[in-house]
Amino acid sequence: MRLIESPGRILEGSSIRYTETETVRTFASEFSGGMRQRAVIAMALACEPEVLICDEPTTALDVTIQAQILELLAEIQEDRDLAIMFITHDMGVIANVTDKVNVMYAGEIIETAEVERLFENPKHPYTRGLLESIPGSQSGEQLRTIDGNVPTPTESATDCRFAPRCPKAFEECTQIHPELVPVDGEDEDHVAACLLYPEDRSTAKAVEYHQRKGGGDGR
Amino acid sequence: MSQDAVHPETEVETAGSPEEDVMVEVRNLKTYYGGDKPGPFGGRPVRAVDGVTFDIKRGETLGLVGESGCGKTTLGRTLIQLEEATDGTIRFDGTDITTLKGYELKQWRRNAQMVFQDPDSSLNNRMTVGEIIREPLDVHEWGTPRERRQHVRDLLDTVGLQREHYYRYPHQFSGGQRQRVGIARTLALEPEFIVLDEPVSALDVSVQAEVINLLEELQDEFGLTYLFIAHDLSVVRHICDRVAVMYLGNIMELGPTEELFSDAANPYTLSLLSAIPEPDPTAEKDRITLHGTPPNPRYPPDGCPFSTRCPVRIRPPEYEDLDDEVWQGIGTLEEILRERQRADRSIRDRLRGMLGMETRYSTIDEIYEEVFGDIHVPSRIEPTLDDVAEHVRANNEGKALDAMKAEFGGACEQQKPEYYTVSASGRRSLCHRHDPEYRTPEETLDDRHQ
Repeated sequence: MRLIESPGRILEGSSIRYTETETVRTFASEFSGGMRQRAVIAMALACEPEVLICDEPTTALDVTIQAQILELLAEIQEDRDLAIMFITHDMGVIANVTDKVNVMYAGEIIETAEVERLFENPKHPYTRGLLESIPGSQSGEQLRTIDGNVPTPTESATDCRFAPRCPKAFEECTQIHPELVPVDGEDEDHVAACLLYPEDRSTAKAVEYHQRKGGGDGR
Repeated sequence: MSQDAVHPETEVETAGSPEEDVMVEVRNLKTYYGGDKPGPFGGRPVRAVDGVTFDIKRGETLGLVGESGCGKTTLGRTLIQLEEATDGTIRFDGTDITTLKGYELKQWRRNAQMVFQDPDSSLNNRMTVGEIIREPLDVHEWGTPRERRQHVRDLLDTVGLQREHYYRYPHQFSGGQRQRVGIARTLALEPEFIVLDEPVSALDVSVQAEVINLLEELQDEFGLTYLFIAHDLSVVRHICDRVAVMYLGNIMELGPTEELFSDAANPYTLSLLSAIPEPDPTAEKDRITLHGTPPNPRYPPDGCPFSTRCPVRIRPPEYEDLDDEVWQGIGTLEEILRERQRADRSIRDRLRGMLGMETRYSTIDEIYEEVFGDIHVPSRIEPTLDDVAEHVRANNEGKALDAMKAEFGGACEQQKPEYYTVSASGRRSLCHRHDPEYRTPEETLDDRHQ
């Protein structure tokens, strides 16, 4: 009974067009995009998991429907004390739903921080570029962009994969693989994989630190 | 927004002042799909675009935003005659293009082109990039073959690709580069007017920014006029001079971009803007969550197109004090009935219903239990609910809906609102609440949405 109940309850909410009993007897093809996404969420929750991975759950939806789905996920999280991993490229959604953010580039996590800190004070040049290219967040006529394209990671990284596009790249960037280090040298809550950090050390010292840390990992 | 500025606009023709250089004049344009066959197999048409009126000025970028299925793309396609208009006129520099045929239409088409949404499906993978861009030149027999090839190479250069890319295939390019190829093809015949149908929606943020920059450069260089269709409002805010907000085939609000974003007048625009997640984790805003989904454009509401989801719908004065949850229940009930009224009930379902067996559809008592089960229903609305239940038991959802409309309906359900001018710049909005008789959408929203 629980299995029938739980999807029904999730499908309810703003599923105004059908009543709960009608909803469970309806085919997916008769649903709108938002309702289908609800059905998928109901499926994911049927076995009462503790972790839910949401892979771009709202990217294909309109903003008003996106708002409904985000609200639903927040309610479910509250109700069930669920951990959610939210994968998306929409910075607005990230800012609204997450507590902590990992930024990925070409197969590696290059920066990790609490969401407020990341948006207020991004450290990795890629994160900065990404946040700056959002239209509406900048005043100038031209939108700022990141030159070049994302490489296809075919081999394990021996250097910084962002170096060819990085406005701050220097020589060592093409030789040494940066490790995730605390940006201010102490706080493990905000780490970035960039040879510019920790920022309390000189560049030479920082490079040495990354090299030592990388070597220590058995590379 | 002051109440004084508000007055009904009966003559929509006054929208553009004469000194402005208007390029495209659209008047009461309708595009319906299907429903043209009379008789039992005709059925009702899908009203994709249901009477829109606006101007596009030379050299400007007019944004067209709205949810998917609201008719944005159909409107764009009708403007360049990829779809036939059902009614109304489109005048390009004074010529009504809906009446053009054959040779004249082909000649005119050079002037107006379109960039499509998805660069993966709008480029033929079996043709080289050069052939793709050259195709419109071949169709219109532009110059000699040598000149065409030269022109294509120049175009590749213009859109930021390399001349050597002529012999490559689309799959060898990234999404952003493919969209550049699409833009080059659009520019081949040197049009004045371009419909951009979600040109950056399929792209990542940083690539998106590059394509937007390119579009703006091209506009400056060639003096282009754009109709920019998008559902991403932050992109629209950046690139557009004026914005039209569409809902269910109608333009709900139209005006200068900054003004519309900072001081929206229409309840739909307000809801849409409040639903955009801001890329700022510290921003606190009251999100207006709209319930349900837009109605089926085959069966649009009789009154205001937004009336089924509107957070500030006008309520009859005698029920003004009902609880919000009761109103929500009434709305839900209406929506369920409307859906059942138009659902094709299979013969099997009907038979099962008649034999008292379980069908896909709930009985009215089950519906009431679900909709009003947890809330206190005031006794004065009970007679109406009983009436409605009677009609539903007799399988007459139409009558049930009429009964509900007669009791709970206000101006919004009964008649379609007019356009009101809501600011000095001539911004128009479609909503009964701009009538001084009612309170404004913003006041009502503050009230109901604390």
